[in-house]
Amino acid sequence: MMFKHIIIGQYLPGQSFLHRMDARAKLAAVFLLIIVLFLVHTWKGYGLAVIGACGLFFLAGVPFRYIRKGMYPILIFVVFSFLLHAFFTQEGDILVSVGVLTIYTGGLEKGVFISLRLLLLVFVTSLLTLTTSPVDLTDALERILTPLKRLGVPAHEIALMMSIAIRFIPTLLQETEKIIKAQTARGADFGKGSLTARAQAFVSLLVPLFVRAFKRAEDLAIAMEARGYDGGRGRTKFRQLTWQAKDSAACIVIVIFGIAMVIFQG
Amino acid sequence: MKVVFERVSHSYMTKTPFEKQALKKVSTVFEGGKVTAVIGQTGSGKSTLVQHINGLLRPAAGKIIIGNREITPKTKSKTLKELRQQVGMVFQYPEHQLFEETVEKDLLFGPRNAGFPEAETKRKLPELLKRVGLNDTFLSRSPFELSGGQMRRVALAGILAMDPEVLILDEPTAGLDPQGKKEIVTLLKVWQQQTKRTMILITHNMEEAAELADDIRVMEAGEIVLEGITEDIFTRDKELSALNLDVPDRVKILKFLSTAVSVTFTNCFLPAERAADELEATPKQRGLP
Repeated sequence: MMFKHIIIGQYLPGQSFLHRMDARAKLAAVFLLIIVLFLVHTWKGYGLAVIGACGLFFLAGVPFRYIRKGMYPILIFVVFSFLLHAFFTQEGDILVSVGVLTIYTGGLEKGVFISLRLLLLVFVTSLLTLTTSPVDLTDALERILTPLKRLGVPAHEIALMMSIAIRFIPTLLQETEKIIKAQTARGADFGKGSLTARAQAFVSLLVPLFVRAFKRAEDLAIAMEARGYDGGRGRTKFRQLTWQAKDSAACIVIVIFGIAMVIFQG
Repeated sequence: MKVVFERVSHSYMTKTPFEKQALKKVSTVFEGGKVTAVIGQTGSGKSTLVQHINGLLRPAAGKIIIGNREITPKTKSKTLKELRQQVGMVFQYPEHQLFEETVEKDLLFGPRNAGFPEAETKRKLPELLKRVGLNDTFLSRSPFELSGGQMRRVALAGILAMDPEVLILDEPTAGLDPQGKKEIVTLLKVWQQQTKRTMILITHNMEEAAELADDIRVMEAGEIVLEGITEDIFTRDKELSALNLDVPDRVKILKFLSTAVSVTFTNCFLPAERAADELEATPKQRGLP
């Protein structure tokens, strides 16, 4: 098992407040929080946002290392955008000047803001996936998109696509491991070796992986068609989502928080 | 080339609640120049065992000796490259590993990684394809437009192209039609008899094991529970059925004959012709029609 460290939308079962919230409410809340995060543009505002994030963290009852793991992949992106803003924004006073590089206080501030915003966005969305099972999440998405059906949005199909994608992640990982082994046995070098050798090893993995994935998709499509699958129409659900008072309350709190934030940050 | 296992253990998912010991201090010898079949139920550790021979899996304890090379828990992976040329491994459904635009390029992948001179390898390709029952018109075709059976042969040729000293096959005929199965078994037999290389075969098909193997190893729950030469193992049908394993048809037929018409055969694993001779030599008064 070489892929045990990868988490993609990993769900951690639990009984915390966030776990027990309705998935639709969580989805709506995350959407609102993202809007709020884009409205923040001062130190005070970011201070408040970080405090809010800490509050959510305690409500989720998820060990911090899982959130940290989710944040690793975007760290490079965060550092890159920090540097970009720090070096290329020319506002405020000059802080340091070395040769052609000049760092302004405004640039530094912008860099910190943008990094914080990115980190908070990832934080909020990982809380969602950590506390919501994929099944609930796709159900919620389907329910939220249902009103848009009249406009021709294929709500059920979108949700189904998501479930299938999530379902096949472990299968594809297994497949990857198998092909890596087979090509390693043929002398392919995935870890070390020259850049060309590694590039070729990579091709020898990607091509079979894609071929198999398409084959699998085709098989699944045929199997569904053979059974006359038309899941969207008149389908009843075994797992019902229940919207409770606390779900409404949570959404209202977030809206109030957002408004307060905009007024307070000045 | 001889392959020796000395008290080899292996566990999956170590340090997690799902930890599972797949091999428990396995010691055995795969004789050089012979065909050994490894049989056993799904999950008995057959694949785990053979993946140690070319270093795809590292032992948690014990060591594997392949020719003059050793694999221990401390072996570094970069020292394994040469070993991987010497130990060819054909996985289950090997056609899933094909990836190049043409059959020729795919066949060259292994030899190139092993550092074989390209021109010479290329010259040998038509002969190689003939060996697996194809011809040189396949060289320029895409491996993805071939039939399942043809893809299997190309994949097999891709391993044989590396001229391995030890050939490991994990259910080489799985998913083929009966005719295709027979042909693959025959070509493997011919290859082994001509080259006298060591062959290790994982199979669920007892007919195949009977047809190809000199020796048998029977695995159960991470241990080798029975080992010996093929005719010995396959005549111990009671022990095998206790392990939920079958015996080849020819053993069943001879066992049946020996009780139904009370003939005693030298052993119940005789090839059909010899069994027929012995049957003929039996006195008529024994009640034969």
